[in-house]
Amino acid sequence: MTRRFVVRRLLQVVPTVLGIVTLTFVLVHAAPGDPALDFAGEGADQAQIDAARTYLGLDRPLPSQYATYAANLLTGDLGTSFTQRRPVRTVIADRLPATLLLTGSALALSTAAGLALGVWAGRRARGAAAGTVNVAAVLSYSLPGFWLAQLAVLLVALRLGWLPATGLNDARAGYTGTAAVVDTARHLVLPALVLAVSEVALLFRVTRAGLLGERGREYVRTALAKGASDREVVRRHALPNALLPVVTVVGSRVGFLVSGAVLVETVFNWPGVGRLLVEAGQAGDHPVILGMVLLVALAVVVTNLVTDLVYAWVDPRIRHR
Amino acid sequence: MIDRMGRLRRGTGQGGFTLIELLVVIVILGILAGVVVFSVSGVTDKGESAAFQTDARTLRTAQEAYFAKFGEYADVQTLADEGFLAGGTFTGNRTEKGNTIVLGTGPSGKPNSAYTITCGENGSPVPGGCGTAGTVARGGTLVVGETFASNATTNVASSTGGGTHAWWETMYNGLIELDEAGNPSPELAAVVPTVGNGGITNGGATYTLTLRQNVEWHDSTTASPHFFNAEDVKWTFEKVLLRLHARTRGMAATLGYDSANCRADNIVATNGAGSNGGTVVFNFNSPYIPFLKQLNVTEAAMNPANSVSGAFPVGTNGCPSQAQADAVKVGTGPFKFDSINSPSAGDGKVVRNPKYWKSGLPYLDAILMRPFTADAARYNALVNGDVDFVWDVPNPNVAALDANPAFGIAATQSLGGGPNSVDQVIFNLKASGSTVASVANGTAPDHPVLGNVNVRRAIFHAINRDDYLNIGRNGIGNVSRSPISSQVFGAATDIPLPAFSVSTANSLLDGAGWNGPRVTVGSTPNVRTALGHPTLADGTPLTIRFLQGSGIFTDRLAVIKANLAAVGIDMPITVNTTNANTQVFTNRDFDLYIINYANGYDPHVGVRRQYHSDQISTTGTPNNAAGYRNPAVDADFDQAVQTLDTTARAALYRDFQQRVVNDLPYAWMIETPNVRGFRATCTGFRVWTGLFAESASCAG
Repeated sequence: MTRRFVVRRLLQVVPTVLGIVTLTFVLVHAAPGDPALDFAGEGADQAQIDAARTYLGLDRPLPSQYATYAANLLTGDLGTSFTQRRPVRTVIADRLPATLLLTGSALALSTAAGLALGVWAGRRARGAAAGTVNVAAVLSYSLPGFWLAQLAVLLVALRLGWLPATGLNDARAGYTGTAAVVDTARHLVLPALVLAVSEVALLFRVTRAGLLGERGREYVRTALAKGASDREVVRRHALPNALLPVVTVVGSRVGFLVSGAVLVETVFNWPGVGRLLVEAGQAGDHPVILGMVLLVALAVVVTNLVTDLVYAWVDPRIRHR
Repeated sequence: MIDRMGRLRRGTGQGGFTLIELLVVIVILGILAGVVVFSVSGVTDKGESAAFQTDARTLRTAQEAYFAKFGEYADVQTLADEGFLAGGTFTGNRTEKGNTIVLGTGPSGKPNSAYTITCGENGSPVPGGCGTAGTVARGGTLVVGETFASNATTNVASSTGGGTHAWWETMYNGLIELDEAGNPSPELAAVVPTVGNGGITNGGATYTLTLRQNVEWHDSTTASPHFFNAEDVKWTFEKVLLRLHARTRGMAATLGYDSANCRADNIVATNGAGSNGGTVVFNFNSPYIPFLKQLNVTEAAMNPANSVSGAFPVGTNGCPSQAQADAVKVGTGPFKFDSINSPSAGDGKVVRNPKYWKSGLPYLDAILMRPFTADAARYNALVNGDVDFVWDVPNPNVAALDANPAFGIAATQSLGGGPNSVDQVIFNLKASGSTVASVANGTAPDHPVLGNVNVRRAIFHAINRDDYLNIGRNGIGNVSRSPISSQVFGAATDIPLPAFSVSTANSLLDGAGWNGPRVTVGSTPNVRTALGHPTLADGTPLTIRFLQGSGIFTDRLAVIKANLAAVGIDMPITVNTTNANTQVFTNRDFDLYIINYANGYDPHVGVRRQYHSDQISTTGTPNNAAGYRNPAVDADFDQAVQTLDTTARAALYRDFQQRVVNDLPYAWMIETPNVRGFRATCTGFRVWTGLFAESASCAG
């Protein structure tokens, strides 16, 4: 990968990030209410409200506030939560591991299953089984995630009693060590599967379409004519080329996974940033809401950047354009 | 056509169905099969379950009848011997989800004592369930499904927030305990002061409280004992309650409170020997009758003196700031603070106070609070056993939970932040742009639309409060019959409130200058316009903005919106945050609002703050949210607080209610009881108070 490509790509990120920072700053100041009053509390007197205003830097000119806001972001300072009176980054950091666990698991599951099914279906362009899988994929992609989540809870947890209905762990048990890992894994199964279902469909279809497209190419026919087995041709030749769009799709879905996790986390009461967003919305905690907005936006930007770099590494034609 | 199709197929050499048609048929059959399977499955289980539930109810009824007569629960043999259980009532052994009835019949045909059913209906005081005698089930962690997420406020003395009280009230005590009916008994005060024991003197202007001794704060250690004493009481009232608690500060004026310097020199505290216990004398400037109703843990939780946290911003003039007061975590209650964000982010935990002054209590080792943003998730958690207790059973699920013997429910008028709550629509009586100063100083409503009492009356007539209750709360609660909650002393339920009547509403609006040509405003058709209105130009549409401060009112507001549209009123709804509402109230930039006001155990506690003109807020707290000012109403409250005779006092409150029904600063919608739900193997809950788990225990 050329250094020039990397530098060019990195430079493209800068104006995007600046735009995001500016937008969140505008949203912070456009939000209703007086942040100083919110921070100081309902029973605060004027002196305390003024002190809060100074502490938050709200008594300075707007350009100065913007510069401070941008500078604070560079150090990871996202402001202070009104309701919890703790740094927003700490509040988010408390919840982020749970969401990363959930979305990471869903991503891994959906990628593995999507690829496997896509390759299987790509090798069998026609046939009842392949068609059925295709229809099932369309269905799973169409069904709303929160509806699937409710159904999963009702059937698997409440009716069958196979898995827990809510939470990340058993609140009573106080498990530690391996037992805690197992407990978390049991709680993770349902929400991760629900989140993965719609993602499987997309990856399946992209993989299948890519593979079918590659199998129609001359080099594949040549390889087959030279006596290579179908499996070998798919594995060594067609599949690597078919995976390029899959890389793009996987990268682009990260942001959607975080936002989609809001509903799944609410249904399963999963203690991640998605549920935090709902709680902050209910409590009117604007710094947390905007911190989340910024975080998700930056995550999407970074993910797209990584995707582009990976794509360029896989396909040399990209970095030499 | 079919024949042609057949010839066509025969002509092409192909017969039968296509693959797509087969797949569609298979899918449809699969869906139908699924519906049938899911419908049929469990029929047998349901039958057995129904029989179990019937037997469980029979046993429960027998137990409650025995308890009503003898004041205790009995084993099954005793029930049978005493005639509370008939022979041959039960039909066989049955086990379901941890609740087991092992049945047997003795030679006489009566059920024998081989029962092992557990039930804890409505907080029955027999830990371990009815039908079993013996020791209390000690230990364990009670997992509570909370309705609200936690925040920085852990001190229930500085807040009336329902979430704060639901989470943390178990860490504190008040001076006087109140039962569900509001009857007092000693708590941190060793004796309830009365006229007879000399605790109440000067016609109800002076209260002397003798404090309990040897009550230790949570931070007390063997090396450095820290006892609750009189100085703590004085400090708590001076620095926290009279400044920050929305209801308790209603007594501030009568107590001669200096709010600028947070001093109450009329509270005289004398510590006991060794700074342990002592006496506290409250000298009101005039008789203050409801005082004993404002001393429980919800209204007057005790903090240690000088318990100022390091939170920012700091206080001034020796007064802790809101933030500093909010962060206090030390009390004398049955449980003490342990942690937050453990075992999961957002969780909270309190643990048993081993030095709790009520000997033998609490039974539980810990309470773990887990917030649920969605009602359905909270209910699922209870049903699935993820939690043991929920503060709010979602209204649509109350009946189903009540019918399930594995669970108990208990309705109470007490919400987390206070008892006897009522949904009230607020009419802003002052014009937009008015500063609070002008609201406090003015007397006449000058809101261009709502300043006319006939418009307010029309709005009241237009709202179908039965629909509001049924749609908004699934019928849980009752339509208000008076400006005061019917559960509170002095409620005059015979003063008629405006009844639902579209024709009356239309007639009133016609007469109020809103009989101009109808127009469409936004998505609302047929909106009235002004014609001959005293202040607004002809053709002005009748648009009344509703400010929604909390998402829990969404369904209820939809009812109001539809009802008002039916009489030609356009009602755009603005959703706003509570904190933004603070600023809005300061500028009075709203038309309608809605608050669930806790009325308290006495009208002076929670009702006065809604109507007395000295409660019109200067900081945006929605006390007297309407900006209402009626000197006669002020006088009723000022006199009632000093009136010892209950008949005379009730008459004063009746007069106030008649006046506000005439003036209509609010539209009283519904009284809102709350339903708690819990595992039937957990008992001893006192659901009307935040000390709900003080004597609770869970078997298994």
